[in-house]
Amino acid sequence: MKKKLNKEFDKRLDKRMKKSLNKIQLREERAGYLFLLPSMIGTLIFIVIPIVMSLLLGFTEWNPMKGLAGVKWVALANFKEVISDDRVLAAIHNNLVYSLSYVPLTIGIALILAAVLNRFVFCKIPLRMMIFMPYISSLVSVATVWMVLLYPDRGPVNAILSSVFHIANPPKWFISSKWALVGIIMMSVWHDVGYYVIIILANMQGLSREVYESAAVDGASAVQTFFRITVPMLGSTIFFCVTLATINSFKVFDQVNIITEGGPGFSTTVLVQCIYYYAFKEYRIGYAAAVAIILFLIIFVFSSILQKLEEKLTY
Amino acid sequence: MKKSTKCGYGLMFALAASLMFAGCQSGDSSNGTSAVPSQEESNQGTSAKTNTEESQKADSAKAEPVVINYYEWDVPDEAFIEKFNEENPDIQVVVHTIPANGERLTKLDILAMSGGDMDVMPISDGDQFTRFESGMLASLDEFIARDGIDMEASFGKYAVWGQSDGVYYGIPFRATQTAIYYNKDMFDQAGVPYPSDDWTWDEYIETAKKMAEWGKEQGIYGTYTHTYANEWATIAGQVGNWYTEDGKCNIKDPAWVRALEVRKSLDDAGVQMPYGQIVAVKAVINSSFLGGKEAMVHAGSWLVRDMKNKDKFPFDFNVGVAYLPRYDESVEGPRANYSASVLGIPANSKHKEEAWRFIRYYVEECSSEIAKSGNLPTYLPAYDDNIVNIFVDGSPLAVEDGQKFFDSNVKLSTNKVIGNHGAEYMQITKEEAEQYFNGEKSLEDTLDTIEKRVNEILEK
Repeated sequence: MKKKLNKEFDKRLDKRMKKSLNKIQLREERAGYLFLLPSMIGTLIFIVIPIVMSLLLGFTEWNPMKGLAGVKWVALANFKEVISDDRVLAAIHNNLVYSLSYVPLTIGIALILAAVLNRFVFCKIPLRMMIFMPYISSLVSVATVWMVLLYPDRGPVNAILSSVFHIANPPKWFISSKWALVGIIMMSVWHDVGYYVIIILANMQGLSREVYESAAVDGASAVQTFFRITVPMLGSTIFFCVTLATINSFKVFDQVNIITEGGPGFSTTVLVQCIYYYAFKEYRIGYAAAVAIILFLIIFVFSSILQKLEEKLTY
Repeated sequence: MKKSTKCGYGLMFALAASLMFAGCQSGDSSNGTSAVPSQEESNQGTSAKTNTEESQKADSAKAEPVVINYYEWDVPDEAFIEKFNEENPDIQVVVHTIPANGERLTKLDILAMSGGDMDVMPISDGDQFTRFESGMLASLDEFIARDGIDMEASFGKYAVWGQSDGVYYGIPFRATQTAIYYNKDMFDQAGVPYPSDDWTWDEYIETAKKMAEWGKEQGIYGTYTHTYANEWATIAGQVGNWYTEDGKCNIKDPAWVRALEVRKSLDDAGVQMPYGQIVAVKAVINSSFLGGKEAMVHAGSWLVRDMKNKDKFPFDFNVGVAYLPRYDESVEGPRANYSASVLGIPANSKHKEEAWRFIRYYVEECSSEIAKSGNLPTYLPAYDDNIVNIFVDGSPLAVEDGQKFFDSNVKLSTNKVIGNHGAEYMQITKEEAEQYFNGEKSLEDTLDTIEKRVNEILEK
């Protein structure tokens, strides 16, 4: 309803504007576009052209050492190869596993932490700082610290697992193809959760008190209040966070490249790392661009689904 | 508003990915048009002359000196570059030191491909050939012919590292030769005789086990095999073949099978640091061996460079050097893994003549500087008794041990796959073998998967 009204209002305004447009206004408008020009040129050079170029590159085979002469149009050959490329298939699989565990874990934990922080006043600021701290630390150093924590032999985590919990064969973490991805997911969740806590907390504090008061009068329990009032009212915030986390999760690269470089075998290979590998280790730029297009399509599909869901589910 | 943010994020990532390529793209399009013809010109023979004329003109006009950009991760001492700049007022060599990590080659490649200002490019230890073939570097044959340089006499066994299909693209300037380094103090304490220079693989394994037995309580390993691609295959490389006669994957060659089994059994028996642990703790050869964590190590001559760096590696024991063990009695010694790094001129350099003058100066007159830094010089006419002394000076090595790196009788054995799709072959072998070493795959499975994956690539 609101949107319709707005549109009509815009239309009327347009008509009136056209009538009253005079030369001065035209000149001012031109000046306005002139002011826009620098950023338009920037967008064109740094955003539009690269997108088009990388789209086109996906259909070529290019050895950059030979310069532009090395570009060869191969149509869909790259994509045909991708379908049977173990590295890319493993990467897609790992990316999906990563996203499907990283996103629910991060957002779930962030919601709980935000709710707790919102309720208990005690030590609010130090607690909030502690939760946010990992996010502002460099991913490179965080990854290195986690590597040390998760050393398979004599690492602190495994020492606790074996001496306190009496686990005979603690996981070998980053050198085991079963546990390496789990370790990376754990690290990423720990690193990123603070960011989403801050977003959710800020929105939580903006929720109207009256609803909670009347719920309290009606005798709703804390759990009921959380699931029936807080979560639904935060719907659009949560969807925003989920979308952000999903996109971020497909971009995962730093921690993988630092800790495991995709190994052991293909157990932690992810798409961005694949792109990096093909582009800068094998110098197959065209093929790497094709993988990038696939990554783009996956992210595109996921964010469109989330958008549709948001339209349906939020208040 | 929200909608647009989301679309924005979706797009933003696509951009981030595409921007990477765009970086190369736009750079290349600028040099692609200008550099390719200039390379052809330079190959057509007239360039040397015109270039000299140009530089003479520049001289007479007393113009600004020509700036030569030299990128390097291991510069001995910049004094020799200052000396060159003083002696050649028309040239100004600027050294750009880049970090000596695994990405250094990528950085140099991108500089060369993107039409950057690099004029002298170092390429190390076997990575040069794909770059020679790709046309990234200018041919040096003109210069070599004009200056009448006898490559064989000047560089001997190192000369082949600078050429591809009979054309020289690089001048060898620094060599790497591997050996087994051993901690003499540990051997003395254990009462185990020092390795002989004519030992076999079995003797090596035996020695490693004895030293591990001795060092058990102190947590000292008998030996160390790094996780480089095919490092496990070093000794087997003396007899093994990577390809069958009809050009297929030959990973089931008994030599490779034995090499894989030896690494795994030494790992499992605690004779050396297990593969997985090296990966997990990111162990490196120099700080591990010089930190006294093992009695022996297979390493390149660059360990001499590190042994001279007492600030970074403070250690207090004597070190001896033995040639690589022979695979078995049928193999003749002495054996070593060796390769050479070369200096080349990127095809799109604008100052090839000046770059060439600097390369000649560096290679021919700075051998003692290179030796002093603990690297092996490649210019044979500069070899004399004194250069070995300079090379070992400051390290705990005896002169006769240092002499082993200058031995012209050493036969090359290599663990690298040199041949059809060699780089991919090694990558696949690394990815699969590490799962075997970590105990996640059986030997049979590992061999089958390597064979299958490599053959798929070879058939392409």
